[in-house]
Amino acid sequence: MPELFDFDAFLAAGIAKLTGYCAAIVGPADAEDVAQEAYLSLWRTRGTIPNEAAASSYLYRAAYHIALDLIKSRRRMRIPDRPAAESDALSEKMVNALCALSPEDRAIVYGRVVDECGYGELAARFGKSEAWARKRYSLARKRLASLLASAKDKKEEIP
Amino acid sequence: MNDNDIRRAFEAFRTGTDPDRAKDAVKRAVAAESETSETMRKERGHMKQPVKWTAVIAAAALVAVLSAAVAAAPMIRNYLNTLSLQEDSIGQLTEVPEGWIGVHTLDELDAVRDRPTEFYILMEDLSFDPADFEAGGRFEGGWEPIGTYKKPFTGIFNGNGHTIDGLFVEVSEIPEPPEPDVNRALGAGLFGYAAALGNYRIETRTEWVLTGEEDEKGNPIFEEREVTDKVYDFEDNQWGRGGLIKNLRLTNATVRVLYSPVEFIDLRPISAGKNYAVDEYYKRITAYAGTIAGYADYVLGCAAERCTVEFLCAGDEIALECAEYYGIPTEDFREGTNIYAGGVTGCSYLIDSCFADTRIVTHESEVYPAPGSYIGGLSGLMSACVTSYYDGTVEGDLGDDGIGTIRTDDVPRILPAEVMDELVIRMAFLENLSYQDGVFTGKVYADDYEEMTNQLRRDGVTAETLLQYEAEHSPDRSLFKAVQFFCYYAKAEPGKETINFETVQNLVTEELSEQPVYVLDPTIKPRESQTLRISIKAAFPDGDFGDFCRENNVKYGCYYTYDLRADPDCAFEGFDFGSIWTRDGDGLPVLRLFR
Repeated sequence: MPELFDFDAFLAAGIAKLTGYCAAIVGPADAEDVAQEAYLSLWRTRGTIPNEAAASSYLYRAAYHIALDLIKSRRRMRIPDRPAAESDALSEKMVNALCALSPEDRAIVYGRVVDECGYGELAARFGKSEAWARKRYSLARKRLASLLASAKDKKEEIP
Repeated sequence: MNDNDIRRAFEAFRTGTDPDRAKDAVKRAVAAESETSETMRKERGHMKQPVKWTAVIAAAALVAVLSAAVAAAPMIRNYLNTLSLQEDSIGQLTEVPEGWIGVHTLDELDAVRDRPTEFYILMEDLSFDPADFEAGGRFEGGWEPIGTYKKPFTGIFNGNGHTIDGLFVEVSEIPEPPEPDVNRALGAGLFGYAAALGNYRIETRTEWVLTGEEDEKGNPIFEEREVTDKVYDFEDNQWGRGGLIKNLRLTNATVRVLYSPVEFIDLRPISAGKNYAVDEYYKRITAYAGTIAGYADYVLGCAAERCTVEFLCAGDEIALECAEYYGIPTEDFREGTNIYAGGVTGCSYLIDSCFADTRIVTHESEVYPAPGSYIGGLSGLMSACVTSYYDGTVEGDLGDDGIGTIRTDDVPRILPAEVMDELVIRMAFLENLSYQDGVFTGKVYADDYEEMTNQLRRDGVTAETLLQYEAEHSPDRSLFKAVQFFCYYAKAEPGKETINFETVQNLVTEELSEQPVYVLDPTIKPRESQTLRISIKAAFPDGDFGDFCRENNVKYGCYYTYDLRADPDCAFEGFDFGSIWTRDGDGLPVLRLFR
């Protein structure tokens, strides 16, 4: 099957970033497996991918769906393996809040904040429109803020 | 909260991952597949001949499933103890789990309505005092149901094995002149409307509303105004959450709905001036009444004991007053009330492991009978109902549908093996594959592997999908995975070569007595459910899927449910007496949680 882009170079350049993205959705224990499956899926269809940009969109979409399937099969809908946070209290609260987000929200926040995707690129990761990406990201940030706020409230209730 | 805090937190997610290790694994897998492909090409040669590729042998899987089923436990694995949309516990918790909000008092219960997207867990038995509902009482006039159609409860309420006693709800939907109101739906119960919808969009539309003034001819004067409303958007539905009420018992509850039978429509202008007349009058009322909820998507492990649900027409006189006010001949009125009333809920997606002995009383309008009513001991209308029973009374004009009506215009939630088999066969046919003797095969005429791939892609199925399916599938996978496979569809993006796949539905297998039964995952998104419905319709045109199901004794999602009025001596086959139910002194099932 002919390649329209350099798969090996693409793999080397992007594996770390994708692994981080997968870890954000399913947790560190399964991140490598999900990333591996996504690359394999891309490789199998490489003859139809015209360029690296299209490959990137495909890769992240595949990774997201593979991650969701994994979560469903584990019957743990939203909370991945909870990573160990730094000793910093805020960081721990933030980790807990991120874990409490849905996989989709977590993926969107990660893409925007960590990968610094523009809304167009973010939308391509999900196969949606840019307007959708803007709205979803906004809702995800609100949800995250709400989770952090309720975590603070709970803390204050403890005498 | 700033972006740096978020980045720092996400670093913790990456701890322990090794991208280089993942890269090496990909390289090894790619090398292995390349070698396999090369071997296949050599074996195939270059003759133009049909290329047969096979998916995993579903027959072996089916045999495996059937063999296992024969020796299986006789219980259906309920959603109650397998899937709870967030939390798997069916025991009574003594501590509030992280991320949940504990409810300890009636005031805290009342506060649920202010944050209707959260997860709540009841930590105490609660009891209403009749004085609470009297003048000056904290719930004067009756408890306000939590959640409405426009703003539903989209969280989870876990009753945690506790009881709420003495609930009183009275809601009315009676148009009082001069403003006929247009409402979508009315919900009455502890919860009014609980739905698995997480997101909404704001929609602005134009409405004509009465000003309350009259012109010189005595016609009511309308004005145009913009109304902003929340519209729950299936496209953005948060996956698999919300609209779930579980492990809750209500005792001595009274839920009463007073409704008007007459419909009034949006009054619209018929002339350029500001004074308008009306030529048709409708008010669409859809009213849901139950004890746990008027409408709730998922209700698991709940009981309604010694409760009453009343659905009473109280609007004949007022409807006639409206007619006189507007100068509308009464013969122009149309009836159109859609009523859903049940012992647990008025309407639900899924009722699982519930019990009700609710007394349901209905009273119809004397002038305008209600054509659309669903009155059921468990729920007026459901998509699925499993291992539940009813032992109450239904009285009144609006009829009696037994434990309730199961929707037949929806995808059946529970399918026996024969129906699933036929569904898979037909779907496979649509995907240009054939199914024979338990094996899926396809024929492609091509010179080489690349052309085969291209041809399959034109046909809507890609070699990538099949290779992936072959690689992943193993003989002991059950038939539902085959259906899942065929519900992947290739969608070519305009102007692009990329083929994308979307999961359109999920199925989980359950074993039921001697035969396997396939149970639709209740957490599939409405959009996925709709896509499955479309796929089924394509596979069974002209509505014959329903006929086929009936021929194969599919109860359309209703299994192991009992109406003791009709069958007082039933053995409650299918009930899980090991972990969910136990027997009381009379031998009737009671939920263990509430013992």
